[in-house]
Amino acid sequence: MERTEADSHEPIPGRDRALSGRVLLACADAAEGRRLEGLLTAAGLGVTLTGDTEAAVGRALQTAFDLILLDLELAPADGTSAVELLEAVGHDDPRLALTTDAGPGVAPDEGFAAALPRNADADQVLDCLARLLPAASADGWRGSGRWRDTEAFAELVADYLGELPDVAGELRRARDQGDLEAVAGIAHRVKGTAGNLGLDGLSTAAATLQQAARGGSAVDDLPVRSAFAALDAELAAFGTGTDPMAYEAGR
Amino acid sequence: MNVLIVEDDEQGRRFLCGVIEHHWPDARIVQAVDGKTALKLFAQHPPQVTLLDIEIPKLNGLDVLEIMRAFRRDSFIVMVSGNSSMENVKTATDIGVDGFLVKPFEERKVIDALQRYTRRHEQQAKKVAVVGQGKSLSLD
Repeated sequence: MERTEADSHEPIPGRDRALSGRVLLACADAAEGRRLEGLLTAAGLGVTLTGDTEAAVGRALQTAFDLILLDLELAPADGTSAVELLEAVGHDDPRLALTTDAGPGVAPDEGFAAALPRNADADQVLDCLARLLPAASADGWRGSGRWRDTEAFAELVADYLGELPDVAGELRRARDQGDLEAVAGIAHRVKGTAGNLGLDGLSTAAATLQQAARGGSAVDDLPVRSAFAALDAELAAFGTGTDPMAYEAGR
Repeated sequence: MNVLIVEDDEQGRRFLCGVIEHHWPDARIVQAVDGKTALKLFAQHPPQVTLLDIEIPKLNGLDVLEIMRAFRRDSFIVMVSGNSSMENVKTATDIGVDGFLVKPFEERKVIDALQRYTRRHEQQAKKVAVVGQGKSLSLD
């Protein structure tokens, strides 16, 4: 389970604090996760919601967050183990624990700035976040600005888009040869490069194909075929695809 | 700041180079596309910071990390990988890494990692200065 909501929203009417920033919310209970996601989004925060430790650690190492809300009862590893691992690689985004054991304002373990009881009401949650969120968002830029806004970056994206027909061809050959390992390898590369370049739809579709290829036994498996179709839909936006007939038909 | 980038994907290397050159215009960057070349460059041009992809040809990034650590424990090494499993991250931390980036990653994550290096470097420089000052005082 993972959703991202990067858009800012107007603060809740009547509340005098408008929060801003990006929050990673890792919650073991799906219903509680959705409740908190709704509350934080309404308060003006961009929220990325995950339901397990693996996804939480992965997202924390990809994206700069202003705050990480981590459920201590996450699975497969608990939230404390996730924090230990993050600290071992120098990760220092502020963290807030969600737990049944502690009242608000109590840090249950090292590595957390504070703790919130699970099912805390809206005021408790927003008060706590208002204290912990930094004045400047991790998404803000000063000084030399973002490299992503330069001509050199635009040139890199253009070069990559120019190579996409070759990448689609590589994928097509690997599929035609029934080579799932090669399909997974190429999809892995597309996931990383396209994502770094801001081509999020392509990156996500490639990640799905990588996962389907790794878990599948043949290129004709339904999940692999579906993932190829989804990737083709993304590639078609850039004028290419792994299925020339389908692409021609759609032109 | 001397930086070694080890990444077999051309766009991946260009992305990392672009971010570093934009935010640290004085940085001197050398690049390797495989593990063997990375170790050669590591010996020839000892870097302060290494950005090391795990999935690279000839020698796996984790093997490269282990060899680099055997020669220089103080070098700042950040692993880069498309595999975000906790097991993968744990393997790297057991060998000894200073950072870990999961692909695709944001420009900001690269900056954060390099800023951690510069902070550490400044702290170490201050410590050396204080120790040096102490010695001269005792000699006086």
